[in-house]
Amino acid sequence: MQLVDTASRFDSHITVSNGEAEMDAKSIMSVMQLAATQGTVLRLKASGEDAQDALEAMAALIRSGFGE
Amino acid sequence: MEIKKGIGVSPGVAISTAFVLDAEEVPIPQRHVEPGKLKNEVTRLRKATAASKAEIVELRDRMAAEIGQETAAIFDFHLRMLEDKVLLRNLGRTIRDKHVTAEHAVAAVFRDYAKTFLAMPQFMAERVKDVNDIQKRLLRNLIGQSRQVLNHLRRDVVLLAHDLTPSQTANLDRRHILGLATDAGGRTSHTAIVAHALGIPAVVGLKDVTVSVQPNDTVIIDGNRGVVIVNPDEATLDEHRQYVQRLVQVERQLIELRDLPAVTRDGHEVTLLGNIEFPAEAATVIEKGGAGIGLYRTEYLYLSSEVEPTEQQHYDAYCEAIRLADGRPIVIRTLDLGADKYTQDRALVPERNPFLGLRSIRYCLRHLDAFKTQIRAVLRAATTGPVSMLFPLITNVMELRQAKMIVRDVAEDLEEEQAEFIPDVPIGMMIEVPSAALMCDAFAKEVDFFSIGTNDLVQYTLAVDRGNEMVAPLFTVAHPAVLRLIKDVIRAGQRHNVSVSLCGEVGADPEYTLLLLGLGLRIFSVAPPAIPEIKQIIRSITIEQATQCARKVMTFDSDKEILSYMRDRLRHLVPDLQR
Repeated sequence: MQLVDTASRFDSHITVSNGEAEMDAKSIMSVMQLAATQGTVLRLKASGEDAQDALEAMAALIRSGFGE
Repeated sequence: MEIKKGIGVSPGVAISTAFVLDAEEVPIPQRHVEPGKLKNEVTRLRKATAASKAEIVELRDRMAAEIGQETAAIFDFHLRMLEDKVLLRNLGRTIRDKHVTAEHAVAAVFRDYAKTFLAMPQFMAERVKDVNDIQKRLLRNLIGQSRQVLNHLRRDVVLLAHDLTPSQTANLDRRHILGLATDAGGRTSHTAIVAHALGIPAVVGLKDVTVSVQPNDTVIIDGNRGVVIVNPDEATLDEHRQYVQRLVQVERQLIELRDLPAVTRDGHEVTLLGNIEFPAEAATVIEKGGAGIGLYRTEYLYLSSEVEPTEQQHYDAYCEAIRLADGRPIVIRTLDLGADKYTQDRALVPERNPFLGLRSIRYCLRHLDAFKTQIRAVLRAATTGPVSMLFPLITNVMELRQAKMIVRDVAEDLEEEQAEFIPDVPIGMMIEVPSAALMCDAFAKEVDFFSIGTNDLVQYTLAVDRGNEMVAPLFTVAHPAVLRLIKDVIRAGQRHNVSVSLCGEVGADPEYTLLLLGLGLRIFSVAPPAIPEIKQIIRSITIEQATQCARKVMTFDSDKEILSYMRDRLRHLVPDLQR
């Protein structure tokens, strides 16, 4: 959910992929289907004015272990 | 045109437009939507989504304040789902592409999500519960918009459903429903009871009529032949309209019987009473020529509202029934619920086998507040007319004594309060389980009257679920075992001077009248529409003929032989009986 919350802060179109499917990062129903567990490698893509900021924020979130 | 065969459980013919109720108790105004109305569905969805979000925000804030932020966090999750643009786009697209109602779009889209999540590793699968929760909330807000429809029908319809539960039928707009048809159900299912109460035709056990019919289709419900015709052609429609005419004529003839006494040709008096669910029906019983109310089923007081009825509500209903019965006796049966939403919702643990569970009198003996409330109302209402009290599902003597003791307690309370009431209202019990029938001699010493409930008696004796269309053919009163029990109960009543009535649906079946009279039954309590016909039979035969019939029947060992013989005798002795 924090992934979705973070992504939703930005205007850019953001996707997250687990190597098999690419999902809209702002859609919780879509992100849930990625079944991302610890150790899953996620690829983030962003396009738009604040794409750079978005990617940095999302990467920071993931690196911080989602605050867990 | 499609002709579907089921079981006719209430006589008559109705021709009208279809109103369809689906399996989840959702009234579907329409499954498919005309292109012009699609925008309306999208709007409805938007409103329901907004309403659902508002509910969740309120819940979250309240939880956060009362319990803590962590617990409230789950609602944030729910909120995210409702804000999910992909989901909302999905729903809108489904409405527009498939031309369906908002409810159907919600059901379809959420079903797909649930399927996807269920196929995923464990920790995600738990989220399915949340997804279902959101779905329910959305549907509830959508249905809240359309629930009013069932309560306020604007034109005449015939109602088709998978099955009709007591709580659904309790809230129907009766003025406009001309007939009933269900996929499920057998001869004594709830649908049959309601149809009799409303005096409308009904056909059950159709298996799949709800998928064969679209809302607003023209439908013929023929309760006599047990047939439902969807979108009849002109010829069929004509034929049925004429049939209806003939039935109206027969009805008129039977009305003339109203003021004649129910006496056999050889002078034996029979008491013909009526079964009612609602006070208003008491007037119908009198109108049809009944001598009183042999069974007032009080369940509807509990099923027609979300909260338990108050003593005043009980009292008002009973007084109304008494008033309409105009001095004739009324038997009020205490709460006989179980295996249905009322008791199951209140059960701490869902019952695995509700029919053998905490129902009826057992439920009442565990919920003394509710039981006493009802008894108080009965004793007080008894000051306005001749009232008896009837306990359902008594299986052992201790239960009965306990119930009677509670009546005495209530009388003491009322005495202290200096209320107006009758302390010694006659008390009877239903004979509807084998143990009661087998020990009827013992029970006869403890009650003022018996009432044989054949519907349940057959169910428990033959181990057949009366609502299960797979085994419905096994359900019959004509089983020698059941007949023997009935005979024994009537005899015990005669021995101990306890009056015995029969209030099950079979009392209204003309094919059984001779037999029941021959077994010694002299008090019938039937659905009001059946009163004239049963009276006609009684007036056409002698007790000698009835006794002979019974004697012969008791020598058969199969229900088929028995039914065939009874049908034959009826045709022979009452040839002008219109069926």
